[in-house]
Amino acid sequence: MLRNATTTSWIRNFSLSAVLTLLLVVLQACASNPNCYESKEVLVYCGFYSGETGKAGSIEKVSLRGLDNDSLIYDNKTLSKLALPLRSDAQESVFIIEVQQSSALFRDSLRISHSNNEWFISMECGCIVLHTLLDARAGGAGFIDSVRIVDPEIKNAVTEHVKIYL
Amino acid sequence: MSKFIYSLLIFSTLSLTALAQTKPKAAKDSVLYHGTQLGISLAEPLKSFFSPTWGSSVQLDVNLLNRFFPLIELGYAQAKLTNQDQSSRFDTKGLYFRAGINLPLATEGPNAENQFFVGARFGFSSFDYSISGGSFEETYWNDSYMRDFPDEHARATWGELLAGLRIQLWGPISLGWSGRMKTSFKIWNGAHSVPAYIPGYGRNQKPNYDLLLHLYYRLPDFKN
Repeated sequence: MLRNATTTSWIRNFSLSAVLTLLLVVLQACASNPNCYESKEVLVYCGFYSGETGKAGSIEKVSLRGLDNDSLIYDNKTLSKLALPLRSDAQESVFIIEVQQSSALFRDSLRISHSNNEWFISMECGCIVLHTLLDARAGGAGFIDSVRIVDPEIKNAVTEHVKIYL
Repeated sequence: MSKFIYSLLIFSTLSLTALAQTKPKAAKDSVLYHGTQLGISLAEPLKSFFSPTWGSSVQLDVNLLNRFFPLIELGYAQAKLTNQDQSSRFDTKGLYFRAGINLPLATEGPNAENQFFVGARFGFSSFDYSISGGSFEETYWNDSYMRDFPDEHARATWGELLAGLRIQLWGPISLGWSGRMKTSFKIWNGAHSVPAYIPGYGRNQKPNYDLLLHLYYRLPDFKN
């Protein structure tokens, strides 16, 4: 008799708690959000530095575009760093940098070699292309003194990858 | 939200612990081996009717001293997930392995046939998956385009904390449920992607929650 009563109590507890937990799990499932909260911007961040002192600096009236691309990435801006998109259909991205000083126009290029990795982030966010920098160098006939890679892995995070010495 | 839900869960299980303090309790004897039970997951196969993820698992647990229930579990899971606008699809199916222990907080019956327990699991899965319709947005250099990733492979390890009840239905047959909180330890992503779903773990989010229902069969004792 006691055994039956105890077992009935267990069954009652089982049913009650199972239903409660099922409800909580369903609520949890409903709470999940289908939106994408991850950045999909994959850019190479390049800082400007003095070739003599090594200190960070900025330059005025900078215009920048990709080689064979008429669209400007920067148009006559004052910048301390560049955020550059790399090609996903090629292993090299070339940028033309122009600096207007007084009446003179200085022009140089930045040539970046890289590998590409197409990357699926999530169902909500879709895909991005990640890059690994292999080499970076200036055109050699302009105002850029030298270029150094400090972090070759280009992901969807804001961190300095390249130092440009002027 | 998750913290609120699990506070409620913990509160409810603590309340149940108090309810479960019914007599007579299982005898704390010195017998080491109290039997082996085979458990089959019931809820996961039923998910195939209403959910894009489903599977099944078989577990074997050993009753030691009516206080320790070490167990191993082998499972299979399958998922066909799509994004909100149905343009992208994730498919996987694979085996997973779990090992762990249940610790009864309250028991009833000579072999702890009825019990309220807490437990822990360690899980592992190595699985293949595919993604179709991965979308790349337009950039400075390129137009938008779609790409499939048909041959991805990943591995994952995770841990689970759980609480549940098991009751004897008839003779060697019993039924049990457990609510689980899971967290991934290490995920070895595919060559081009993060897996959206991990067999045995569920959706690739941290933490993750699950409710499992098992039917148990106490294996015959072969001792003379």
